[in-house]
Amino acid sequence: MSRPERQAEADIQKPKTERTGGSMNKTGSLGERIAVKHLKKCGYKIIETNFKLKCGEIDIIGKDNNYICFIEVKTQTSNEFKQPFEEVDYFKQEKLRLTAEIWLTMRNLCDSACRFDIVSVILSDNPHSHNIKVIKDAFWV
Amino acid sequence: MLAKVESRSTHGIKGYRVDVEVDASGGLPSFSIVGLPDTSCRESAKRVISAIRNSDFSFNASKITANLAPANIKKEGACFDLAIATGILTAKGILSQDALHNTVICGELSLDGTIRPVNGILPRAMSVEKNKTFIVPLSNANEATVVKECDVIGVSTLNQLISFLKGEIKLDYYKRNPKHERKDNINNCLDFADVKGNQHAKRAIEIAAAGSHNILLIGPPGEGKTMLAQRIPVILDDMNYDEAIETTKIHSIAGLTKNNDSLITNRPFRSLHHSISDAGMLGGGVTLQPGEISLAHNGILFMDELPEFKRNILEGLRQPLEDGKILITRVSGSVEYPAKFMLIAAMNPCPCGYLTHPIKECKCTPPLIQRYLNKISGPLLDRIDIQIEVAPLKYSQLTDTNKAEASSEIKKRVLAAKKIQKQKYKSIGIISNSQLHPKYMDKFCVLTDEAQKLLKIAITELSLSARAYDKIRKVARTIADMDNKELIEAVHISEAIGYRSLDRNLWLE
Repeated sequence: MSRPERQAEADIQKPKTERTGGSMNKTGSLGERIAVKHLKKCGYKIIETNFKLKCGEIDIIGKDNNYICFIEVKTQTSNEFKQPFEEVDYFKQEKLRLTAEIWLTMRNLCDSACRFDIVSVILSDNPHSHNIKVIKDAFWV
Repeated sequence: MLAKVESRSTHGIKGYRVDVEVDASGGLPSFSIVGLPDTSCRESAKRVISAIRNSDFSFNASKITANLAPANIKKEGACFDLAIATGILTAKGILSQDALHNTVICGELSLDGTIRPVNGILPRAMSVEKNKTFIVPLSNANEATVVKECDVIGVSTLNQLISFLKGEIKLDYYKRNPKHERKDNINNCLDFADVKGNQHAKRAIEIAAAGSHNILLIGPPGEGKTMLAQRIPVILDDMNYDEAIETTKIHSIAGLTKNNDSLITNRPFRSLHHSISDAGMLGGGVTLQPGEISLAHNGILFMDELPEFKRNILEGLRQPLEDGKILITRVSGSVEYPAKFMLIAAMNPCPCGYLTHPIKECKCTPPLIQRYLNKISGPLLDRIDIQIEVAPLKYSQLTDTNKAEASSEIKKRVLAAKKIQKQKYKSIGIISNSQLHPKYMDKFCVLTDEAQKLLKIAITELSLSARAYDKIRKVARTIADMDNKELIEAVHISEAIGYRSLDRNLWLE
């Protein structure tokens, strides 16, 4: 059993009741707020934000066309030479998979259609011109 | 929803049925292939997803499981791509399961949805039942129609296949184009007329070709051993239908049939280099592929510089030479390939090559020569029916402007002798003297009294083995056939004995 899986076991037996309200990271929490706003505009129904377990965290859980969407938000300030979604690598995907599985198990929704989305936010100085990109069905596990 | 698609795979040179079951259900999006797939088979998930998306079908996230039943046999290659893609589209409700009734699907997908050819289509087609439709890549269709077992439809893109299965377009059953029979092995520029002198060797080659005997050419370098050997395919007959099917099956599995090839009718000629590995020679590797001896099935295996080959390769030839097949057994399973070939080998008499040269002096020491010749063991030598020396040419022979006998003349005699053999052995299911089983020897190889006496003297004087005794009789039988004689006479026997020069150790004294 790998380390995240062990943590997941512990999480199932004793889920954390208290969760901290948002990300400690300033840029990150700003990006997440922007993403929620944008997703609502796109027709997503937001079910939960910042679902946190020892084994990982899901930024936003929403519903779009009968799909339960596990949404990872990646934010960066504009002066970086890469796209934010590149940060979601294999290890991050594994963490998201485990956390999503636990979330589904806890709510008895294992058979419903699911998908993983990524929202990449590039912040700009003008609050109305942030570059937001939604990648639907970003990866399979 | 669950979908079932029928497909075919190969084991050795036999095809077997594989059921591709695809289940698309809710849950975290994933794609897994089960049923002992190898790497290229597992990668088909990525190809299938891209191909479906690029063929303009919607493909939403879902949990997809594809099972290749029977699950206990290892599946190899990308040939299930098309069946899996069809299965997914059926499970997603784009196709109905009824459309797949009595349909067998094989093919590899490329990312843009076009269908690529796969190896081993012929054995697969032979395992499809008569009332079923076999859907293959268009460039494989010619090969699949060689046997008239099932209806074949060639498709070129995934879109075309789905429209056909839905009934939106009509595709005709593929009609075989007999023009596509492969005739590439024969190089028409090669002719025995180009080889000066060496009448003795030419005669031996003619006999070897007529009776499919193994032959070893021995001589100094540069005197035409390789030239002679390369011209042997020219004087051989074409394969009959059954032989052609078997040879094509092996070449098909090895991936050597090219697009639009259907049937290989010329006898294969495999010329080997002595750096060949065990698995390359006898067959094997991770996927238990056929080796050179199987690729030369019903044809010629030419080994130039015989003593340079690795010892284990030469010894590995012993059993196939006798049985005409090879059983390859590895941890991953065992496979039997046919390997009935005519061995043509060429070698120098010693490391420097000039031992038998009339003028040039040999620089090798006797132990060196002994070591060189020891590479070729007695058992192997015993299995080579004809051992012949190629003599150096004189100046007058080299400048002789008269053309030697043309290949077409030699071929006529070879074909005549082959015809006699075919008729004679019709009842016991073989076609040449070299395949004659010992239990039929006494029936077909009847010697005159005089010949019997001569053979007795030869055996006792030269201390030949029991196998050599049989081989001499077989070669004599071929010579008698070429003479159109019912009984084997003394001249035939004496010529056959003359073709065992290594047994007689002529130059080792």
